[in-house]
Amino acid sequence: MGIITFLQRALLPHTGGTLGPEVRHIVLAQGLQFNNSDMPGFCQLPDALSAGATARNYWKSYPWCPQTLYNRPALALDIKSSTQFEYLSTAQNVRYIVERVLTKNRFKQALETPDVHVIYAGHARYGRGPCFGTNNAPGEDWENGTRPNVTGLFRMGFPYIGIPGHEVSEHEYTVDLVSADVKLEAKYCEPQLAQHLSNLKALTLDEIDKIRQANAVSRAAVKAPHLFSGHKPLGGWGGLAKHKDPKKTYWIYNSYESGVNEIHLVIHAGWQNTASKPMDLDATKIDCRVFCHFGCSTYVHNQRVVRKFKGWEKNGDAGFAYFTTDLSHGFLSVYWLYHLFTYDKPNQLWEPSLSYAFKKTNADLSADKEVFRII
Amino acid sequence: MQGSANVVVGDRHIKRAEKPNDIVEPAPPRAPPPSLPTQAVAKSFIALELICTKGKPIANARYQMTLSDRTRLTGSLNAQGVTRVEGIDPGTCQIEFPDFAAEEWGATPRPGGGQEHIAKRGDCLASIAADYGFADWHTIWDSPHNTRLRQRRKDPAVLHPGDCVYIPGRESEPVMRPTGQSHRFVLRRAEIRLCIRLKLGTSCRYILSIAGTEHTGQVDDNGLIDFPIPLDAKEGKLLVYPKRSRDLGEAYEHEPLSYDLALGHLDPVEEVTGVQARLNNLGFRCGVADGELGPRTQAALHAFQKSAGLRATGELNEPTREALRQQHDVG
Repeated sequence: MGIITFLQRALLPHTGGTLGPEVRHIVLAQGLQFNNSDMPGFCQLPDALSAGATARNYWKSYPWCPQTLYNRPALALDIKSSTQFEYLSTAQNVRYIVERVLTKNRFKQALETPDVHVIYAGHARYGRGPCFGTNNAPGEDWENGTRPNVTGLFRMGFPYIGIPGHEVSEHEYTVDLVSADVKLEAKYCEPQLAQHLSNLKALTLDEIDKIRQANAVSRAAVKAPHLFSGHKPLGGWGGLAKHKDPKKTYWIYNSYESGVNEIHLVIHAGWQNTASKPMDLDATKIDCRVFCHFGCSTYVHNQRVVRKFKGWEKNGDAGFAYFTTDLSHGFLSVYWLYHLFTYDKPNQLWEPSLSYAFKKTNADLSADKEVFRII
Repeated sequence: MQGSANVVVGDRHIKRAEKPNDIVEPAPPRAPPPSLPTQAVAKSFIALELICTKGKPIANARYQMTLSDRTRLTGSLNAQGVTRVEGIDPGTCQIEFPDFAAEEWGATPRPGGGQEHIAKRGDCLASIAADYGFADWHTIWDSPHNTRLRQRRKDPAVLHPGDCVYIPGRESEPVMRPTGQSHRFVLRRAEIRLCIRLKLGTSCRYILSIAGTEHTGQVDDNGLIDFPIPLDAKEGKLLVYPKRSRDLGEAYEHEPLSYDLALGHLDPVEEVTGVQARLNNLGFRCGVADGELGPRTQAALHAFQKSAGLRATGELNEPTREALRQQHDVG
């Protein structure tokens, strides 16, 4: 069946109507580390889709970077500004308008707007949720934000998560440790934390700091020494812990992070009544059509929170959600958009084109020998 | 003349034009004339021609004629919109074209005989005119009884379900014309054209099927599809084959975009349903035109306002209605 088209009756002297391509809005919310200014040239949008000079040079200079797009025709984008570009698919009869946003409030607004296709590409914050700012942003932008409506976390995580100790050292934000008085239940813990509930330890801030310091030295030797030069303690004046009671104990555990066995801190995260409220999932009425959470390991981190706890479900040709299975990368949005745009059939329903993009993107990730997939 | 024949009616010979199925009803019997000396009366003729306002013949229209001796003659005009009746008594004849309302062929309408029509979804003046046997919707629209309707609905192309439309009577007062002459009547008939503006951002090939006729053609990226259509056409199908994006080669798409055209279903832009239908047609999808200003419609309004350079509020206001009218309505 075709598109039902109500036309004005022909009368004076001849009328009917105007038919245009369906307009679909994509809000690409670029968060920490995956925004254009933080990413290499082959991931920057829209350059990577239109194969502009930056992307082409990058592909030529760095043959190790994913090559799948390099060998494909560049798309004829209509670049309106540094934050907006369009693509007209004549086959689909759809004009895609892509808006690149960099702030938390615009991300929340997109989630609440009917028929918008929202993509978050950025740091997953170990499951706390999308986070906005730039790579060299001040420490608090890696947590609640220096401007709480603009930067920092939009929380959509389990109530409790575990983070490696070096994470706090690296970015230096205030961390809300979970007191050992709290009895942790697996159902409220991020799945990776839930695996460690049997070997949690209760330590004071001083004890934690000593272990963190030791971990940081060993980790710095292996990884990136510059990140640990200013290693701030959690306890004491000027420490990074939100509550600095020297007598209290807090939950920690040991686990491997990027090949290094190090202390992990159990912290408050959550999606309801969070420290970032109203910039959290609970205070957001999700009404968008598609939500792609393209941060790292978001299937484990956030899928249950979004789908089960929040109760945002697929509903006919709406309520689509896509997550990642492992450590992700900034070029994922580029692949996704490329395949979405190049679906070559009339496209009244959204599902066929999304399924196509889903399959083709995973095929590209496989061809690139990437570990992660979208799910 | 092809198809003509002589028929005998009483003691008279009438040579009539054209159709063998013309019917001649003899005049009612008269009282015998007083005994006057028999005098041969020269026979005469009368010719009728019916054309439209553009001068084109109205073929095969039915006519009724009452001759001076009260003989009723009915028949159809030929393909050139003409008939000629010969061998009749001189005098005046009463002419009627029963297929058309009196005003449409220049006759004076007979008072009374009107009725009311309550518009339903899909109705407009043209379809109502066709349903009631009018050739020109102006006949209905311009009726003094429809003054209030004209004030309420400025565009006769767009009615709203529930609108009350007065349908004037179609019968005419007698139109008398003398024999021995050809008489031309001009039928006022509205030409209806379907005009669809394809703004798909590329040139297209198309197939338009409407009222059993298929039109094919090609338009540029701002092109108009423009065809005359029957007054009573209510639906159609449009298949569009857009030219591919230039990055994908210079060919036309193999799989067409398909539109089911529901003519006359568009509500006035003053109604929320009319706003929703226009947004949908322009590509700002807001779902079924249900008359509710819900979140989806507000989002579509917001997107439309942004694209039209208006203040994007998602609220329905007069500048938005005007922009919708300008961008969507044609003609």
